[in-house]
Amino acid sequence: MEKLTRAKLKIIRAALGLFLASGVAVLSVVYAWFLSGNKNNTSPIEIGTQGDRSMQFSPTVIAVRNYLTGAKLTNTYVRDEKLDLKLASSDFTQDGGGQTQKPEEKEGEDFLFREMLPGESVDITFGVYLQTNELVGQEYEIRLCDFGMGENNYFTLQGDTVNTTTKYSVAGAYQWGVLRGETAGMAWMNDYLAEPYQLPTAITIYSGTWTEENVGADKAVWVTLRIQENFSNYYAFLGKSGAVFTNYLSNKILSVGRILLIGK
Amino acid sequence: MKKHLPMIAFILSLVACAAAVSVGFAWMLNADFMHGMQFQILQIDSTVNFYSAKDENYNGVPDLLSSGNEGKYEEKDSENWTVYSTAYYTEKYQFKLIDNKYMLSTTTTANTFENIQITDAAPSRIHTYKAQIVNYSGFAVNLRCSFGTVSDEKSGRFQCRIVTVSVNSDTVSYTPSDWKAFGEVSYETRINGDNNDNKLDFWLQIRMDPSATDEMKSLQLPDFKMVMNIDDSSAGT
Repeated sequence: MEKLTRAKLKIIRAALGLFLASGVAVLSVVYAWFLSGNKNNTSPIEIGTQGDRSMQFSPTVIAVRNYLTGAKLTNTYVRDEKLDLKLASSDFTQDGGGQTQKPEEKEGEDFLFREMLPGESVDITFGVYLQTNELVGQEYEIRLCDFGMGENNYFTLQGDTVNTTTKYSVAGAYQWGVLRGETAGMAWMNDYLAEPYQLPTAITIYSGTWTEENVGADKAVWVTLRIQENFSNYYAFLGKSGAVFTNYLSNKILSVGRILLIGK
Repeated sequence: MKKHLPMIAFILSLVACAAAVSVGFAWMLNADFMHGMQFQILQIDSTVNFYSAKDENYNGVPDLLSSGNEGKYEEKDSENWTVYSTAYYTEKYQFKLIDNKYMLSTTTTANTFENIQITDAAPSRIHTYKAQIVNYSGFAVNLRCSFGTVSDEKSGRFQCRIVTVSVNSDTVSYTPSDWKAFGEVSYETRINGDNNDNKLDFWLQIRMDPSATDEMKSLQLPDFKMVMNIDDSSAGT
């Protein structure tokens, strides 16, 4: 009888051990996910291919900056051996009759569009595809996540009440949209007029369902994301709050920490 | 029930373990990402074209363009005539492009300067220049123009003035300021940010004092500085 009880205790201990180990495993996966989701945005675009992922981004990203003068800057980014996206080539065309200073782009540079003006946009085109048909029929999403709140990515605003200041992301000066044909329905990255003012943790920009037609890099679904600078939301926000205006957009950078492709 | 407790605990553990493995495996299999996109805000974006006038008699009124060449200017390095692509009125005087510059800044202030050299100065002669500014910033900016520090003592024999250009329908009018010494010249104005109203032209005229008695073959003028800035009242415009 005593032996039997000892055996039961051993099994219970083993079971508890397994249970704890699985808990640690789950936590570590979640923690790893959390950590990677909070990486800072100063690094270049990276397209990760760790593991045997069945769905993935194309290895090349093309970004076209549309200047107000009609000029266009077309940058092609490709992966290096570290799987980071680096500027591979750049083409600048001056159209529209205006004057635009040709930017000094250098091969190997990170993904950064300098000195954008209200009304200017960048169209970022990338593909998503399946490596195998294992996930055919499943839904997927593309999300923008991890908006940077580093020193150059936010401003503080003083409200009506003395000593009340709030920190806001510069993302409210930008809109996003996915191009359909030549037009895009644009939505605010961060709508200052919609409470709460805080940035969402993620914005789903595109969703779809994998089909047999999406298996293979040459059969990618191509998505063009437009990021546009627009100060009207920013100005309306300042007016509504009654805040004292100083130039909060000085030396500011919007950073999108991560574009994520994930199953629903 | 007590009898089955160890087995239930064991099965539960196996289920939890399977869940952990499947979560990790699904993460490895079903996600991809790219990160690090950055977009920097430019606050001031303006272009400045600087022209010199052809004025045979140096009386301060440039020579008229010949028929068929109205609204055109001469390129600095050629004899070709080019249409003013950013003009908001039809230019009737002869100008030649001598410089084009950008005023760009990610902060609230941008500046540039023009280096003017006169090689044929004589008493009473007036040399005319035109600045043509286009504000692409999307909102109003303030412009302040002045001369830098005077280093050439001969420059004391010169005076200058700003001639504002205003357009009302098809009528272009020119309003000169008083003649002043270099250090006293200051021109401040505001340039709108609306696409249909974001341009400014003005003339800069330099005159050798009529009472001077000598000619100068070369005179380096102090830099003509142009500074743009955004202030509080730019909000909402």
